[in-house]
Amino acid sequence: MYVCLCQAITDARVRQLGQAGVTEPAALIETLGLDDERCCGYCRLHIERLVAVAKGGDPLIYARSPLNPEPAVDESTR
Amino acid sequence: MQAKPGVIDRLNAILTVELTAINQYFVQAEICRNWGFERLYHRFHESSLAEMQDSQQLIAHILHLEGIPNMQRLNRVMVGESVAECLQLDLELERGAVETLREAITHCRSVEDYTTRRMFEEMIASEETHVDWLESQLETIRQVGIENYLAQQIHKD
Repeated sequence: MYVCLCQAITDARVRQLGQAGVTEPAALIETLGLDDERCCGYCRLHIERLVAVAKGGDPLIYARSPLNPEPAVDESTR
Repeated sequence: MQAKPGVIDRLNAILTVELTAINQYFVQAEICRNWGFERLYHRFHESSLAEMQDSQQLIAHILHLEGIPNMQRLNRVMVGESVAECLQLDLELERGAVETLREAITHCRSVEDYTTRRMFEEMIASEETHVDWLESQLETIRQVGIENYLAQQIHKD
């Protein structure tokens, strides 16, 4: 399944990265390009869930979140 | 008309579920058409339109109760990489919808908002029918195999 539609990222791709040792939040953000302005911000805000998928967790944990968060606001640009 | 406490929140929570469902079914319909599964395209497309009608009812009712419909919020739109995965994800979405509606019905009963409750009860009945349909599809796939199932989805009814 697609865990992220903004960047068309599948759970398989995240797991593959995890198996290759990419499980740190910063490394996942960097590798998957989640620091992009096209992103809705969900992945960054809930990066621990993406880490769980990278470590072989159920991708539905990622999808099952009750609500989208408010868009992440960059304090420095306020 | 003023809403009873917590009713607008429930209406908006369900609106979020419905708006998410519209998008999920709409994109899955087109994905199925792109894969050549004309029959499933029609099924998903109709589901999307049905959720849109539910949303319309919710929006009208929220306005009637002097609330503001929250069109901004969406849950995760879950898209699968195969037909079977899409069906599984839709089941997940519908089960979530039923759960949200069930809580909302209980709340409406406790604050004695019977018109909103009736509306939710009609919606939960249709979501449960949808859950049934999805469970049947997954069971059919289990019994006849995915190839046989998909072969039946190439032509429209």
